[in-house]
Amino acid sequence: MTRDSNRLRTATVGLVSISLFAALFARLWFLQVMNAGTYDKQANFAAYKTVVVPAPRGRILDRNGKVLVDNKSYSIITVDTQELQNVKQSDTVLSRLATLLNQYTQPAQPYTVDTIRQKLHNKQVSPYKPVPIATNIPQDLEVYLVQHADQFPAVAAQHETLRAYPYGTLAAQVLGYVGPIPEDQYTVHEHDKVPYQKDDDVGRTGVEAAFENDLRGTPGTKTIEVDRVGRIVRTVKETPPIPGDDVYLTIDANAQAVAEKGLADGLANAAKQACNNLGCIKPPAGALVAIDPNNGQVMALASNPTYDPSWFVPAITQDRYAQLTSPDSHFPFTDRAIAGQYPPGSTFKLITSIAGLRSGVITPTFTYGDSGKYVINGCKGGDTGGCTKYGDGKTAHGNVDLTRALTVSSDTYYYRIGDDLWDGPAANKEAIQQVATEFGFGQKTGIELPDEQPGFVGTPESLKKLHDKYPAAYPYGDQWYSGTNANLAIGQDVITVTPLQLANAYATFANGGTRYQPTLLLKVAKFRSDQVVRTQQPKVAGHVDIPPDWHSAMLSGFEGVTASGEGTANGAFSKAGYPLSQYPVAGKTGTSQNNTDPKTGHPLQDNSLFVGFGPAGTPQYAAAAIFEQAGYGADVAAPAIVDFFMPLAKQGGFPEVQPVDGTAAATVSPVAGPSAAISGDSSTNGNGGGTTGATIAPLESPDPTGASGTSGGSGAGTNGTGG
Amino acid sequence: MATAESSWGTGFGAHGRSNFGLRRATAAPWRHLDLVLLSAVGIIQAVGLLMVFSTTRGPTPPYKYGFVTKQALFVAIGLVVMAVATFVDYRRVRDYALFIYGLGVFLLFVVLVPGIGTSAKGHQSWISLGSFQLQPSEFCKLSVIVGIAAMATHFHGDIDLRRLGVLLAMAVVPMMLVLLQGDLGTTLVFLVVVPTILVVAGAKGKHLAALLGLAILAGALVLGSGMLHKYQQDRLTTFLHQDETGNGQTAAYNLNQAKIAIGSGKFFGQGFGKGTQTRLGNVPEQHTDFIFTAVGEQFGFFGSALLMALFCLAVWRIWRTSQLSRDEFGTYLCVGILAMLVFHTFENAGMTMGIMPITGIPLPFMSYGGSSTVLNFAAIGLVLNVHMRRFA
Repeated sequence: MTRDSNRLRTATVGLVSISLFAALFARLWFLQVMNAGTYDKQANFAAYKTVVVPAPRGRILDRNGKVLVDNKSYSIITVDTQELQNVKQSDTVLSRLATLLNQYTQPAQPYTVDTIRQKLHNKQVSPYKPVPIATNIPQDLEVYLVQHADQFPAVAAQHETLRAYPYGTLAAQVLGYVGPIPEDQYTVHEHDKVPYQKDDDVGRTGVEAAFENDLRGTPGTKTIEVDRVGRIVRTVKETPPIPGDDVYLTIDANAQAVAEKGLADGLANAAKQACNNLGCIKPPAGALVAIDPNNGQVMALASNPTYDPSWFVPAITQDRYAQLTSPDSHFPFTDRAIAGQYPPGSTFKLITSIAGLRSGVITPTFTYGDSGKYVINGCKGGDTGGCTKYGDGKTAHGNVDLTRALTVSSDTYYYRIGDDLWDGPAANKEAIQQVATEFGFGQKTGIELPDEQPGFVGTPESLKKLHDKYPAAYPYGDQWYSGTNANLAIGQDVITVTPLQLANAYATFANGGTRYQPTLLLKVAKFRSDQVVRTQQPKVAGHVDIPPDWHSAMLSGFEGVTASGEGTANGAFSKAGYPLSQYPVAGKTGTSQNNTDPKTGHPLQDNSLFVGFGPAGTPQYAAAAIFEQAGYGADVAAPAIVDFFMPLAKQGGFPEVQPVDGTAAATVSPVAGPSAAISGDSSTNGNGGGTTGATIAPLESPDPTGASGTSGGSGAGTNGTGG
Repeated sequence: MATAESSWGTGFGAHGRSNFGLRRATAAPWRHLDLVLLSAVGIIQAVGLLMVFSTTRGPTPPYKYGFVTKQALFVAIGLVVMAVATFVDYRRVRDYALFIYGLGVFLLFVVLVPGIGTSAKGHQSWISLGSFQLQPSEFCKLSVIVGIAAMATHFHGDIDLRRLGVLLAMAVVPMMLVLLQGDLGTTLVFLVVVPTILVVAGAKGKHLAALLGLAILAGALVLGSGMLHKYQQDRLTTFLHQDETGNGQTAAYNLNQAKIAIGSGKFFGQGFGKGTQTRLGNVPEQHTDFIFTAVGEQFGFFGSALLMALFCLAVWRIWRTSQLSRDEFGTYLCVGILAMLVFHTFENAGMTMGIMPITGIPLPFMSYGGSSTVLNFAAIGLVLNVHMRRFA
């Protein structure tokens, strides 16, 4: 072997070594410099998990600080699936737990190992959070579990905050309820800065839904480090949850209670009336709204039938939900004050008066001879052809001017206005609709609540459209007749309004013509503190030009309704002994014809309406009441409004409403933040909503439509009746 | 052959000391100790201890010190063994070379005897000595190098077919025994080390070419014959399917976690104790075969490259020693050790980065493990020995 060959051979060994190391350097560069980002992401993804710590929901209070919706701490039993994996005889533990639960609670279906396992597979709960197994457990059970913790590894009794309603059913539809987040809402907010979790509860209806963003709070986060088999190693970062803000409503709980009682009593009393040609009166529902005419603040918003929001805590049972949503229950979830749409009847004469005055068909002093019937100008069909329209009871009121026409509710006076506006020398074909729109009819008021309905102000075009779309329901809608306009003039057939719209229209008149946007929001404040986040300022939605002489003539008419001996509501006020001199109330009755019953084909009983405001000169409240299928406005709705104003007149204010059975206030423990778990991991707790327990929460929203008597009128030829 | 007065230099610390007259004195070999090699290895081993600690201490305090303490003990034993291997003249070692070789083969036999040998991770590779487990295949790597180097020296650069046969037989016997244990990695080490010695020892080109062909044929046979377990095949071929992430215990999962660890270190690393892959134990076998991932994650490209540079430095010093050696035995010894070190390093670091098949080969001076640590120190001791006795 030569020396050169030897050198070559050793050099080769060296060269090969160097090239191998070069390959390592190249690969290092590739992984750690060129592709570093990818691997870094994967490393963090594998190592860190973020768990969301729910924030307590803000409270809902009335204008005087009464807590209408609070958070209450409930005991729940959770099972930590992570820990359970490490428990050798997990079935034994679960079986023990099932026995215990069956013993201490009265479950509809007994707990078994299998049913618990099923719950543990709840995909809506993060795998790093313990899964709730039973909610609202008795304290004995909680104590037992804590004392025998060694027998129940992975099982913990914790406290969870859920909604509580100290005043029971008070303002239920206004407050709304919380429930599991619907899929679509989750999807919409999926990419928000603070997205929802799949097991979150959200406000589903009412104020809970309307002010969801204020009430919700900011969930905290906990970043935990997990090893490769998913065990929690440590908490890396923790951001505490920020509770939601408290929402103060314009609602006066005391006024609300009076309104609800008036409504309930009205319904009960209406049923005591004598039967008439339409059958016997069994009013299914009603609504009563009171607002402050000076700023649009809603003081009371009552709807009947109602429900108890605590049925949704922690979750409503399927049976109960099915029952509440069946037609026989008359849709208690529907807030008829904002979503019920009714023909206004004679209460609409407010609008027709202004329309008539504005177009010169009448003047404040114009006098008309009310003979109890009115014949449409130039009508050739004769009495049987719908040319003659009668006032209520065909009563002849004699000579009526504007004031008296309102006080006695002369229909013929207003038929004439409707007829002349359509077909007279000073015709102004859509004057009524125009004024109605100025007063806020036919459009949503803009109150914060979801599911508000706009009502309907018929015009020749809109009626034509309806006729084309639903020829069966609107057989005469292809053309607008003088008679149609005459019926519109007395708030019949081609117009529907919501109770809130009606109250707001009279509030607008009462304050001289400023239409405020009704609001439920007084202010938003920090959770359990006086620190105001924002205050709601009155919002002016529009102005109606009402010259003083028109206003005074009409106001006298409305005052006469209650005060004058021939006023339509005088009976209701005098019978109740209402001291009009103490607290004068002006108003207007209405009795609106209803639809026919789709089942029987017979007309339903009339709707009973009254809308009033007081004190008449310097109004503080404008209140409207509507009772479905309850008869005359003077007989049912007017007394309910009398009941509402009575405490103001007699005691100068509404009586203090007490929390239900006194226990609510006592047991509702203040929950300032996520409550500490009794044992085990403290990673779940504290939110304003429930976890799904043994019951099933509703996923579809309740029927938003009103009950009966809410469609946009039926046929132009029928006779209107005035209260 | 290597000459004492090589143009490659005269060695560390030799300059300007000739006036002491000790340069060629037999009593003075300690003066020619290769401190560069010693330092390189020392630093690597220090980093190794740190890495063993970081991969075994657990995710959160209180940290566990069991592994690192034990490894420190191995290092201490290794240092003693290295000192002995350095102190005893390597020419004496040559005299006992066949005995050493025979002892190694004997131990490989012993480990296969049921009742004496114990198995772990699919290998029957350990002999229990009290609380320690001796792994003869590690010792055997060095004993085969010593044996073959001695035999090659005996042939004096003239290797005909018969002599080649003798050398190959010396390699094949322990190789088969190691393979019987199921230790594929060590078998591969022989496949690299022995031919390297043969190249330098003067095996004829045509013989080497034939051997290469034979090796390829044998490799294909082994892979195709079903001699290997499924897991062994998977490990060998995983690096060909880089996109698979795998799960649980699979080789693909292991490789993916290893790459995530190394890649997430980026340029400067996440810092000691900060990498999640290491701290959370996401890389299986991280303190042994996959220890390089801990360096990659915690010290990044900067640290990993520096570590590799230290290995390069050590390899260079060993290569240089092979050139400086005053006799053929020293040269072959160094070349064998060099091949072993390079292959271990390349294969181990390469497999964690997905460019080499996964085999159970430790990273020298880094991976946790007593036998391999001690043997590597012994090997370095022999190199130091050759280096400092190049004049004597």
